[in-house]
Amino acid sequence: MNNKRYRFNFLTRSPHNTYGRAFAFLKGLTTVGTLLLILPALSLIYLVITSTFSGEVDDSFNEIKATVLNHYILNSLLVMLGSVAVALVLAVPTAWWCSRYQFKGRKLLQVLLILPLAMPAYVSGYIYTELLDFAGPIQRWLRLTFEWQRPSDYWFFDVRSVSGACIMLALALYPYLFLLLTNAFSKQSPQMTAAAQMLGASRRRIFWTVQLPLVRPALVIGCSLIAMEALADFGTVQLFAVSTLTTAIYDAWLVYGSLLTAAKLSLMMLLLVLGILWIEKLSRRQQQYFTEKSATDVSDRAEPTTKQLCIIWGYALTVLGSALLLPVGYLFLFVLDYWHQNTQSQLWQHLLSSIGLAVIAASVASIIALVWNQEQRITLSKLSSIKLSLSSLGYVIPGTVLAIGLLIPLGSADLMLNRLLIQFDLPRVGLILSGSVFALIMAYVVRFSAIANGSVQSAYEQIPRHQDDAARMLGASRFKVFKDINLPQLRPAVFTAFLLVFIECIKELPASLLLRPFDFETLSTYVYQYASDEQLEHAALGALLIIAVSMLPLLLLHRQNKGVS
Amino acid sequence: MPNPQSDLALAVDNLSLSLSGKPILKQLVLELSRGESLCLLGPSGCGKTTVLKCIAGLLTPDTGSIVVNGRLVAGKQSIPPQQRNIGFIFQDYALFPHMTVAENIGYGLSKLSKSDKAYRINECLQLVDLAGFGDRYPHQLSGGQQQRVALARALAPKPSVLLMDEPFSNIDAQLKRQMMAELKSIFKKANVSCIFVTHAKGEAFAFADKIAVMLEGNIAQFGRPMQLINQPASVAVAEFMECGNVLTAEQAKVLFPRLELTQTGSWLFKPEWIDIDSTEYGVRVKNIEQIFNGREYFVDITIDNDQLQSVKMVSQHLLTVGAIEKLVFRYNNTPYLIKE
Repeated sequence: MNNKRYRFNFLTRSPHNTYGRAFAFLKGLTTVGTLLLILPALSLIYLVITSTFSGEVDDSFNEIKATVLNHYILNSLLVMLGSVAVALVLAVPTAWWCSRYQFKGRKLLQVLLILPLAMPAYVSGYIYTELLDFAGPIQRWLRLTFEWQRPSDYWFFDVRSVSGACIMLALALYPYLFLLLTNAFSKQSPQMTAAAQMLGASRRRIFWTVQLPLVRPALVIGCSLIAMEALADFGTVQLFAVSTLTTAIYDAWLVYGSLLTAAKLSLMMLLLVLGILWIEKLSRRQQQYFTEKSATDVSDRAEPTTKQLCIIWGYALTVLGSALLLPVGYLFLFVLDYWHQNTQSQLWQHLLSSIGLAVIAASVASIIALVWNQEQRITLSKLSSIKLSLSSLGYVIPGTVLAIGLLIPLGSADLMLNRLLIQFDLPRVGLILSGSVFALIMAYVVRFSAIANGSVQSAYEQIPRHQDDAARMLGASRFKVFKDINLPQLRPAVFTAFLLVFIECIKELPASLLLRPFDFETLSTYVYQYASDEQLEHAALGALLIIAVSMLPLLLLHRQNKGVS
Repeated sequence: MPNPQSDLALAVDNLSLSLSGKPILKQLVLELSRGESLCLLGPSGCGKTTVLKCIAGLLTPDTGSIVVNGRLVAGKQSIPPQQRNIGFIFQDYALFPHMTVAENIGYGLSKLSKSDKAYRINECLQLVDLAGFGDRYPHQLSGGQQQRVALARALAPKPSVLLMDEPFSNIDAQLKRQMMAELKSIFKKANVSCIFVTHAKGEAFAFADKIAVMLEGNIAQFGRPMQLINQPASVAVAEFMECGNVLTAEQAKVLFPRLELTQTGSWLFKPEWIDIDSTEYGVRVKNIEQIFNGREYFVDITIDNDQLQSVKMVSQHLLTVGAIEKLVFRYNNTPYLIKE
């Protein structure tokens, strides 16, 4: 990264033997820690490879392969591509209007359009099912008005389908694309447009040949983010009974009880993720040629005509209404209608345990981010930067896959531990690792370390290295430099890292469903259980809590982006 | 109304424009003959680029008319930029990064057939001496090459007028002279009528056939480079162009007691016509600063006088400052009376 710039800096790059014992310990710690963080991915690969070579017969996988595997993969791909397609339709026009037009309420709209990211797709899925089902108010009204009797009398859109899942996921995920595109459109040099105009191109032609192609990197990055999230989704597809790879992994473990089958399916999923990442990386490489230095001056934004203004607000409010306002409104109604069930439940107990887990995981992730980044800052070595990237790897692993990847090593560790204890005539401890909150916390840390790393790393890069050198020249030890110089400046970033990881942990569903101990619920598994039992009405308050908590980082994100908008 | 049959490539009349309540252009008049290069020269913030944008159609003037090649494009009727047939080269070139050089050049040729388009692209590549570069992408080219692509792209649709916004500001001094020579020969070959904007006098003198000095939203003087330097239209122009010493008749008397200046007003005394002699009875000198430019010394003499503090002149050799206490000035030409 910045290695070249500091090559001649004698203080930050001294010979290794001068680091001392404490530093050797630090390096050992980060190495072991990194190995633990990539353990799930390694275990999956290890298990699948060894079982292939040992010729172990895996009946359940063969059965799935012979019957439904292709169908699952096809569904996964359909959900992924469909969600991206719908998200494009939602995000491209709204982003275009918010960045290229000047109208009253534009900035507010820009914030509001990001908020649906806080909406769990399965919650909207549940509410739209209620609304659009055969027994729902809309179909009832239609039947009354047109005097239809049976479902065969008319056609109506079935929400509980692949296309329904795509729409629900797109409604929750389009803000990723919206954010990236508004940023890219706003940064686009107005001279590009003027140049095309001077060469005789019409507005339409400029949009399709210059303005849209120029945001291609943002477009690809946004689409791959959405593709990954849609691929990893468990809640919505399970709720809609759409069988995909994620539901197959879940069933393989919880129904068939075959860890190996789950591992094989997980590995397939990882390959798909890698494919998406590869495409994304290609486009990131191009980005350096695409980014423009100049920022838009306000006068460059066009004033929309009244007709355009109607279209803009009409479309934007439709998107916002269906993605956020309507589901949230429904949840409020549920809470009021079922006040007793909502408040007298075990909600508070689950909320507390959720917060407890999230605090632990967020603390661990923040510490990892600090320690790993500090090592990278001191040594500037290739190895430490590799450790840093490896520790962020978990973020791309879908929650279901991660859970299976953790069950493999933790299960064997439990087995070994118990055998060992028996040998020494000690009481057995049971599934102390794989069957306790330990597994859950580890899953959260592995999955969300990347968020903490990113936040802390960018803050570290803001601190000039010469500050460290100056302190060292004044006699401070490395630890003192960290404590007195770096840490005070890193505090806001560490707080942000903690908060972001905390919120992600509260929201996390698929890994929590697979790893939670018996009789233990987190806030999101609690809400999801009710949704899949068709009783979300009774857990609506929980759902609202999740949404409220999720909105925090979005507002934070908006504050950071203010310079751009 | 300008006459469409004239040999004017461009005629701007009575152009006014206010942006957010602030008048930027005030009844500006400008004409460009076919095949000529005109420089809009002025300090930053005088509205030069605004004039270009009005001509291009990227801004709409409040009043006034613009006629391109005999066709009214702004005034009673307003023609959108894409139909004006005007070429524009932007300060940062604004090449489309996702298109090859050939695609960039061909962007304005969508009306041509495929083969005509390929032929024209090739022709333009050759014109700017970039044959064989058609498949490259802009980021694979040097700054000078990028500018030539921008030029080829702007010239490809055979525009009536070419507009350039600070075309040389991104190029380092060494390359600049070479680029100007190249551009000039390309313009001659293609008979381009061009207006370019700059704040650097050197660029204007080296490149323009005619210069329009722009001060505070208006053309302060329009003419050939020599004319501007020797016969500035106003004190403001003389000062901006650094023509020389602008003195009142009284101030001139201090330096040249024997000179008979009958008219009151400001007189231009050019540095290269001033001579000095070191004597015992002349004007008392306080300080002398000398800057060598590689050929001669620019001398700035501070004198001890209530009416006049400083005199600028040119010297072929370094003056030995310590020895000089009093100077006698001579002017070897007739001073020019600046008419206000």
